[in-house]
Amino acid sequence: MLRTLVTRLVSSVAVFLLIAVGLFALVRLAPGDPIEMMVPPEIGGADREAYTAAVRERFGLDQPVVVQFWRWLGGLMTGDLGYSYTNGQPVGELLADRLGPTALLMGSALLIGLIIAVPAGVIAAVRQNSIADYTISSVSVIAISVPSFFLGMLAIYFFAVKLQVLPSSGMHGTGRDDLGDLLLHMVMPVGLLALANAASFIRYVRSGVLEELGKDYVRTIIAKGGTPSRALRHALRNSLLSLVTVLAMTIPITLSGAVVLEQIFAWPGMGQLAIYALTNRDYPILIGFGLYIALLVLVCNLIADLSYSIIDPRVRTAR
Amino acid sequence: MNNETAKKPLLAVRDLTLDIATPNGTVRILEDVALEVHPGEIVGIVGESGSGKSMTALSVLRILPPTAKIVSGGIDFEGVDLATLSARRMRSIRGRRIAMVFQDHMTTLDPVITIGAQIVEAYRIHHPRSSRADAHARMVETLTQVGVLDAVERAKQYPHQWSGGMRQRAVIAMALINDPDLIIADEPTTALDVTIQAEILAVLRELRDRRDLSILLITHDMGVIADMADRIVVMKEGKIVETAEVHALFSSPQHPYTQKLLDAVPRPSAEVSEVAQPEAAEPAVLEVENLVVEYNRTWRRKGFHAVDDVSFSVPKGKVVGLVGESGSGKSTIGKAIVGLAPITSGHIRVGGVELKELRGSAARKASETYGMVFQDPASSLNPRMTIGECIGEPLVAHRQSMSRTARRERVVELLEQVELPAAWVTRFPHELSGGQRQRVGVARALALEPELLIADEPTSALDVSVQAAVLDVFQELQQRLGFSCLFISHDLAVVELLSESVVVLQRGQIVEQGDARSVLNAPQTEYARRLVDAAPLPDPARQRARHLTTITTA
Repeated sequence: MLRTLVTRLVSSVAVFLLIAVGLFALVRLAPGDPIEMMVPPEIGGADREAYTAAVRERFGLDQPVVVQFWRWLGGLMTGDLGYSYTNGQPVGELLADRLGPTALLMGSALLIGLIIAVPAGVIAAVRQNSIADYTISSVSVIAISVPSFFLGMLAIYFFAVKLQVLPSSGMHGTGRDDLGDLLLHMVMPVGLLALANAASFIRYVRSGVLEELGKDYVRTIIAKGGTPSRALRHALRNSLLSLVTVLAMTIPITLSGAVVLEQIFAWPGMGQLAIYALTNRDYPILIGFGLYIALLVLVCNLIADLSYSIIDPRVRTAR
Repeated sequence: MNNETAKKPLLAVRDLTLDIATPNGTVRILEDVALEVHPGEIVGIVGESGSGKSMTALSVLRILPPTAKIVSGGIDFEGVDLATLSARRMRSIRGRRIAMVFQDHMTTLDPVITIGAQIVEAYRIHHPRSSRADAHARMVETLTQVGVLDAVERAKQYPHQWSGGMRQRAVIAMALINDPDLIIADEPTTALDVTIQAEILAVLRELRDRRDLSILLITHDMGVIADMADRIVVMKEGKIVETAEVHALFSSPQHPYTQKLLDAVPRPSAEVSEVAQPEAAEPAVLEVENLVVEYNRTWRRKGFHAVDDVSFSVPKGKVVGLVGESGSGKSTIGKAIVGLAPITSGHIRVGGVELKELRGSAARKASETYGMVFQDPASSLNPRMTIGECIGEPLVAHRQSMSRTARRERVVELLEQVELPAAWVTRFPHELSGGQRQRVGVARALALEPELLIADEPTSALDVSVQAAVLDVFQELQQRLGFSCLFISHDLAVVELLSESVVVLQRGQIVEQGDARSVLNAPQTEYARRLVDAAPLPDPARQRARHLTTITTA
């Protein structure tokens, strides 16, 4: 167990470093020069060249790439991700500010998604091929196939424009900071993200429960004199083991949905920051964002692997 | 027990007819099935796969697939018709009055719950007011009763931590904890080694004697049925063809199907034949010398020796049987010969050529000299390839110069050798029955006219009558074509039927080898004797006489 943990940790760190190198290289290879954009267009001729060179020197971009990389890596080790090209703020701080809202959005969406998906999936499995099953399955297919930005705009149109019951964007109303206001702002983005999550979880729960219900040990419980609901409890427990893994793997995927929704609902999270950085060629922020995603994926995979060996007795007690 | 038959039966299945709805219309699974089980009686149902014997058992407990429907007839249990009982009252009978022991010990237990908790659950379903401590004490007592040592500690373990025989004991304990009147055991020992099978059967027999329990025993194994049953019901295609007392059935079977079934059982011969003369120095086709196969070796730790210093040889044109229980290393030896298992040390020579030293094209060339028949004919043929392509594939690989027509002719010839119609070249494996598929497996193995055939449990997945037919074909081919064969099997009777000499393995080591008849009839070592004694004889008188001798000698 400890051995697995150590080897997994070591390999995760190695993968993280490789990704860091890859990100650094990829950004340097991308076309376009951020410095060009920092120089005011009214400056021309020789002045412009001198100005550009000065900016380059200030950011250390006049050095050879290897030196740049070495400095950047050194910074990375001490938690220094560099400074934004466009507003000069430390990247680490920028990301940290955005972490809270994104975590709130994703966390609550994940939780609500699960609360919807587990009972719905179980109903669909137990009443296989019934109206309930078809309804649940088709709603989940629709929720997966319709892009979230479209649903987001529809929701804004109905709830914010027509009915005027929900705020259309942001986290707080102007001058307000209370919980009720925050909750009201959360309804649409969290609801839509939760729907997307639930849609994919439902399919896992349904097929997982169906598979387990067909197994011999379920028949054993019936033969013992157990009720169908007792048999279902056993089947559910077995199928949820694999759901934990799916869940951990889904978290990074959820992030991509969050990026889009954050943009639509002007949610002050990571996704919004990433899009800002992308359109302004703010490389340090982009790299920081990339590293953040890499870290999230690695940590989630680690959790998926380890949680399995903790909750599944077959893995836990194997020698 | 037999004079009790005059009393009222505990269970009476009355003219039960059962249909199952399929997309292609309804299929009649059982037709007018009638049988009785009296208190303290063991009734055996025998039949081949698809005969409806398991369906009969499942209908008694009403755990049938949802598409199944009882068309007519009834199931009386102590005068109550189970077929029409409410779901709620049916549940109070399942596990409480009638308990079930299923076949596959790997899957009948919930993998993520401890064994103890699952047995306790069986008790508390029917005793909801019992205390936890009470149920636990009963669980430990029942486990101890079925021969589980250190039950308190072992009950805390999960199913995968128990061996197959132990798991089956747990399943029996789960059935016994509510002190039922009837146990339905559906192939309870089929997946187990013979020595373990003997132990489980002894547990069941003892329970019957001590508690006056009735057992409905379903099996395809004539040895098991001869050993256990008081009365036997023979089923074929959903109908009962014969019901008789055990001695009567074996000594004078009435129905031709029963006769056929009994004839198909490979029987170990009773007498010891004179020891065959040692063969005049025939060159050995296969020589295995000090073979060691080691797994999981690391630089600081010795690995597990699956095969440990094994030497034997297969003379030209002879069949050598390799027997042993699961984990004895018999399959690993077969795999090592064809290069599927690592040879840690020692030598394997086929036709005098050392296989280990060959690389690349020489190794490929050498692989022509042996063919292999695998255990499971369903999964060892590619489902997307026709029979012709399956058999012809070795020719495509090794005889590149062979023309298409010549290859087709050879495939047809091979099909005819295994007594399959030549027109079947275009069929797919799923269109064939298990026995036919295994014939295809034999034909494929013989395609390159190998000197040596390795057959790894080639008939253990087949019904007895099918097994008999496949073994016939095999024996005839062996005599006609004269290939040598290493026949790996756990079934001593089959090995005795086919092979001249036999090698008995235990935990990777040879414990005894020699002439097949003398080893299997008069084993010299303790382990070989246990193995031979554990295999139940398909003869009730002799099999039961054995129990007496084991009791008196013990």
